[in-house]
Amino acid sequence: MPASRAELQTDARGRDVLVVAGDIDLANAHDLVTTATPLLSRQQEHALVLDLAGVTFLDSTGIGALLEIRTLALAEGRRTEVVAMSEAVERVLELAGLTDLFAPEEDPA
Amino acid sequence: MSVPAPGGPASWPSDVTTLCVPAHPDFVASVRAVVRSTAVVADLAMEDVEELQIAVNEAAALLLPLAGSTRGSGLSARLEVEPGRLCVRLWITGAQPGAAVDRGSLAWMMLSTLDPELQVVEAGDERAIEVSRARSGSSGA
Repeated sequence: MPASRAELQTDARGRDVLVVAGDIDLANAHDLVTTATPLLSRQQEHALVLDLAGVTFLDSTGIGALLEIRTLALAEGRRTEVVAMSEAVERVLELAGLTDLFAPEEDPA
Repeated sequence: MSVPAPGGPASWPSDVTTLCVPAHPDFVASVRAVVRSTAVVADLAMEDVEELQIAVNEAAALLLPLAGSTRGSGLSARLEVEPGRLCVRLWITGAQPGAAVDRGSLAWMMLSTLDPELQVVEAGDERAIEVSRARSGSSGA
């Protein structure tokens, strides 16, 4: 039962991506908010980008943390995008009816 | 894997597992792990194993705020392998009078979606939630 860990990486478009792995549950969900909050003052021209492909468990408090991050980002005029998610995350977001809330913006190619 | 009646393999000494951990969020992962391993051995499908884990986790999230603040208060779980299903009862003691499970929360919405037949017991200073998951193909769903 891995605890969650988060690492800041850069994607091909030069955007900061917060890559999160492990379990996000009621024991550590608030840590995710604490980790993500400083990123809101960086790269304000971009959406806040999260990669949740390595998340092995997500619960309602984890969803609450994602919603809190989204709210904080919106207050700064920024979107929050989840660019990758594990099956565990997908299942729980679907269960909560929030699948579309963090969808990446379509690339205007 | 074939599973003899009533619930688990014939080599199991008991169809019931009980555990008690400190009533603190840090220990809910331990309960999830026991639920997962028991559900796998009880031959639930992986999707059911994972959904039962989520349900137990949400039940814990609903109960922990009601636990007494006394040092040593615990979160207890009783897992019972029945023919075709795994039942999990989760409970805390030391709840204040009138303290009730928050039925307006996201945790409740998720839990009641995962198990529409869940049971909530609010008696004395005890608060309990019971959830279960049937083995795929069993009639006891």
